[in-house]
Amino acid sequence: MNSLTENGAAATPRPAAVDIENLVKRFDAQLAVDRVSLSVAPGEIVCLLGPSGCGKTTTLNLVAGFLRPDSGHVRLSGRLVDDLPPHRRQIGMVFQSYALFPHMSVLDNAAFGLTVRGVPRRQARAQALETLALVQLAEYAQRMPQQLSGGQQQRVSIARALAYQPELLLLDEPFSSLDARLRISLRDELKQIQRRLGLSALFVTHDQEEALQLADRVVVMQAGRIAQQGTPHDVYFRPDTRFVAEFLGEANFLPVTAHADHQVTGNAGTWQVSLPAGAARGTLMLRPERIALCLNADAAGGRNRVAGRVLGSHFRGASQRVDVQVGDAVWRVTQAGFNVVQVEPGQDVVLAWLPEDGRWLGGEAGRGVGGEVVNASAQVDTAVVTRRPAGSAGDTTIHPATTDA
Amino acid sequence: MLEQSPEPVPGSKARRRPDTGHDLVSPSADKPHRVWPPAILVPVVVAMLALLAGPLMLIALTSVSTGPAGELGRGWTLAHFGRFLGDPYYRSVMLATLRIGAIVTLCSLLLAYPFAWWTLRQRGWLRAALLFAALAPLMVTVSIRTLGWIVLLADNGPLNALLSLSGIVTGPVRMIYTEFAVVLGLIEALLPFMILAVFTALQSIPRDVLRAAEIAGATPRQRFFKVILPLSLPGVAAGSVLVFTLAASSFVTPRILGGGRTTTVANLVVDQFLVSLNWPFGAAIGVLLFVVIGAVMALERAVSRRLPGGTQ
Amino acid sequence: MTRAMKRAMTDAPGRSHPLVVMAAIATLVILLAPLAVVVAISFTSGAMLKFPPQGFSLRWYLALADNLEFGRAIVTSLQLAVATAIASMLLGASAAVGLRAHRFPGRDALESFLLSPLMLPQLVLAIALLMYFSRLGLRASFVGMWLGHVVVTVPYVIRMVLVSLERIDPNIERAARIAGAGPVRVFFQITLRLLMPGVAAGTCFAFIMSFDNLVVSLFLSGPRMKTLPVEIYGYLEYADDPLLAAVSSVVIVGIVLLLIVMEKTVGFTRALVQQGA
Repeated sequence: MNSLTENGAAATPRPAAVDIENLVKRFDAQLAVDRVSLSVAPGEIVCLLGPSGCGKTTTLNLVAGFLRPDSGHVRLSGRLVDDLPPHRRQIGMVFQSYALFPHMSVLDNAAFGLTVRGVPRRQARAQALETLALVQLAEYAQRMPQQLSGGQQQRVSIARALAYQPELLLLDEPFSSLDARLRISLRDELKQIQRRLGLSALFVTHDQEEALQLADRVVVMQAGRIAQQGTPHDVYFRPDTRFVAEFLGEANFLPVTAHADHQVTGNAGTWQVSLPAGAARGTLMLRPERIALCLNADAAGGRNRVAGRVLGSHFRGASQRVDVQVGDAVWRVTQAGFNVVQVEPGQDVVLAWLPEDGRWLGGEAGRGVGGEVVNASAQVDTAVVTRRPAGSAGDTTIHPATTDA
Repeated sequence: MLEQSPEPVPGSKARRRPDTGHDLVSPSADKPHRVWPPAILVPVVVAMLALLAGPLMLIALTSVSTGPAGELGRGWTLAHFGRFLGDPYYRSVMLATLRIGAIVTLCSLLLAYPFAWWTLRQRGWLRAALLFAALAPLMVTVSIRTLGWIVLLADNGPLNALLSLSGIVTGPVRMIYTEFAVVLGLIEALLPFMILAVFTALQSIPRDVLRAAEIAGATPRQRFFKVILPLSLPGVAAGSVLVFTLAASSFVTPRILGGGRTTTVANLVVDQFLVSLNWPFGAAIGVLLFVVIGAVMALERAVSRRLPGGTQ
Repeated sequence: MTRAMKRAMTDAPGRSHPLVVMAAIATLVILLAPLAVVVAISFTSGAMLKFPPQGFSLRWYLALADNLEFGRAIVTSLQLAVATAIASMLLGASAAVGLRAHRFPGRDALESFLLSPLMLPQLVLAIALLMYFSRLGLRASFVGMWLGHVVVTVPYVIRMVLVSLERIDPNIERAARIAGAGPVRVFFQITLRLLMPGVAAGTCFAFIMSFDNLVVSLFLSGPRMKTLPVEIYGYLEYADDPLLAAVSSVVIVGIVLLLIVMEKTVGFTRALVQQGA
């Protein structure tokens, strides 16, 4: 089994579990996958995230070998596999429809990958039983798939994929057919197993929450191309385009004009945000949960601020969404936990946010820059401010320049 | 001519949605279950009772009646059955019939499976054309197709010509008016049914299941024997029963292509009815045939139910 | 997923095993050879049923045009087929609708009964009808034949309409009801319309089945009441000339044309094969 060594360094650099290079795939005239390149490091979970039709499933099928690329290459653990049929690629795969063999018992399903490799039946069954134990289904070994619930069937499917110890696990929207609670618990189980076994995994989903929670790295796809890739944190807080921003979560977009000294002007005010060189007109993105609802200007302190009027609030269980009219736009604010400020429709409020929580998006496909603050009027020097995790209160930590832009 | 037609294949039933989804909204209220059948069924039920149940009962009764011309009420007897079962000639005819049925079933399965498989793999127009070609012969009356075989298998016919040309044989091989011709003719007539059954069975295997087998490491051959074949078995079984039934009860092909030398039970029945005019005896033979076929069907049902992957 | 993607994703890229292809081609030959041969012979200029035909001529078609018996038989068959198709359509469609309207005790049994002729050796049915109709004086009559054909063809129609019914999304009807349409209107304006393809396919089928029917027709026919298949069968027994081939070709071509029309309009292979979406 692959396992990451404790000190994080390997004796010799291990090849990427999956290395996709410039894959192109067309269906009739349609370009389903358009020069996609990415790699999955050993022990890493990478998620392909995007709307239907973006090419994520096609990419997965290209890695599995069910489709042949029109051009480009696929390497598994360093080996070029373009001419290798799926059954020789040593990959495990989990399907959205579970795809268990209805005529075989749970145990035989799990043992299938071993039996076809010539492992003697008794040993195959023993090993399969161990894998079933890994997904807590050992007692169901003699049942038939039709007798199991959806969640259990999917677990058998996972066990079947793991039994022959593949180096790579592919998952095609594995939890989409399950109800919400089951989805979450299976997600956690999967992650535990993956960490324990040190598996590399490439999985496809359209559920951004799933992607953010499961993945070590998220690859956002759009119309056959990669729109952005990065850690969940990166793609969530530092999206490069409006599409990525919107796909990953709720966002406010404000048309603004850039000025010198990292300042932008919108309809309702002037604020500070980190700007790349040559920025002119663009969009300021703000996540609703990074905006504080203040009852007056003083409470806003030294942060970026704008005045508005409450339109209404919506209870969402763990959080509350407040819609605020600012000029001719409606901003969305999310508050939760101990910082909730109760407001009434029609009430005047001040919205405040930290400069580093704003993200500049320059035009449709423009690159955005964020995470730095240069605020001449504050007592902060020109050091760089790193992103801090969501949920913490408004303090600022200053580190030497460790930004990624 | 179509002597018979396929019943829905078990595989296709498995895909049916649960019952509640199907029922039309009932005319007066959304009640799921009512005591009386809808009135719209009356005409067809009356028709079928009169035209199906009635005649069949008549046959059953006639087979046990003593009246020589088939009049009922003269007395009851099992003599007709005894006469058939007791006579070694008749028994041999029955055996020959069953043997022919089995051979035809086996051969058509061996041909239909690859054909259905290959057709399934084709796309678009080619697949449609192949299915059309497979089903169209069903639509042509059997007399015509038999004529075709007479010509094809004649001593001076094209098949013999081909054999001579290729040097396999020296003189013409007698093919027409033999059991071989009968079997061949029956295979041709019944292949469409088998193709239909196998095609439906193969098609009902979910693609993801096949892909799961492939990615788990199964070679194409392993995929076939471990997954595809077992899952297609229920459909194959149903198709085989149908073909067997039709083969065992056919009389036109054995009569014409067998040239009087091959007799099946069905031929016996026809003779009794149209020639010897011994209706009770003919009815008895018919009942026996029916019973044998029914036994085969029941056997298939029982076996099919045990087969995993085939739900009924 | 687009249809192009779906197609590309189906199994096993690459070609089939050569044995499979050979078997498939052999099957195709077996299926089509007899028909092809018959059509070819119909154009012979000779007087023997021999393949390859000697010379090319239309003489046998001309002879056919003059042949009274075949002419009469064709007319009888056509009339019978039309009558059967109509009756079967009415009975079959009503049966299918009735079997799915709502549940009632014995519904499954009734359905099996109505569909049973599909599994019954037609021979048994034929002799049964013969005896039955003899008592009723319907032997060798048009009505007798017609009734016999109806029994044989109704199950097809029922089955095809049932398949069509099963494909209807029940929510469509519910949507109509909730929008205010009464059950009768729902039935006529929506259900029936959606059923049309299945009913049409079933009716065409019944027509073809009736036209082609030999077994039942043989038993119920008489000297002045013969369908085309029966006439051909009789001819086969003792005659030996290409006239048979000519009439057969006419039938073959007619049926193939009808099937092509059916395929284009209602997709009869789809109705038979119940192909998945």
